[in-house]
Amino acid sequence: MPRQRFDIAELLNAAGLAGLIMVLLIAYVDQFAGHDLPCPLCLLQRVAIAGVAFGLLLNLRYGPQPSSYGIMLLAALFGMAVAGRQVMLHISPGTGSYGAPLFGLHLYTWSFLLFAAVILGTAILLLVPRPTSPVQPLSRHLQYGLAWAAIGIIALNALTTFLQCGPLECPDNPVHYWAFAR
Amino acid sequence: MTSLLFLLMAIAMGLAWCGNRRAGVAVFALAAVLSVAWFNHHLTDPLDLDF
Repeated sequence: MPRQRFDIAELLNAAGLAGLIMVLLIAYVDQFAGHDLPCPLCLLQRVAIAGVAFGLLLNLRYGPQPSSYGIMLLAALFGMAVAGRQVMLHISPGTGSYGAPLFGLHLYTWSFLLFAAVILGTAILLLVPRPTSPVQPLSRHLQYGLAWAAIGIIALNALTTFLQCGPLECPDNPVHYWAFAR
Repeated sequence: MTSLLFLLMAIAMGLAWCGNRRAGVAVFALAAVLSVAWFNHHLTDPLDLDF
């Protein structure tokens, strides 16, 4: 029997975390380059992405565990509820939309599909058998890079959200940053 | 408030990554409860749906 070189689940967890960092970066490109300020529900979808990223980070740090997958599933279900609510707000003709579409779909629709994909991906990850023989671990540099990139971009979201919304509540249709409005 | 949710998530991840898994999960649980409460707070607009 050929020896397994890597833990497939560990690789997929790392790839998933890299993918979520990319999604948060795309959201920032839309926010700053596209001047498309995120609404309260949009921000809650980013919080749900952070929750999924937390589960992936636990798997990367402590090895894949059912409890970490449970955290990912709960966060993805919450994200689906928020994104689904926003899709429902705009699903009827004449109810408008929020933000500019990307490849034909609005970001909240992409977000709904992303959370569905997370649930599917987590189910597949739960089916991946644990390696029975010693495998080569992922590079420490890669693990640290991904973990601190995820922590960094989520901390940056805390800062930019504070600049946009202030200490209390974001307006439903934000048009300017709370910190720079005079 | 939403910025606090991001901050709690970042703290949870930082704690977990630095070896304190239990504290990380506890902070994550707090952020999760607050997120659901904040989502509920934003469920104000009626949906224009008719089944």
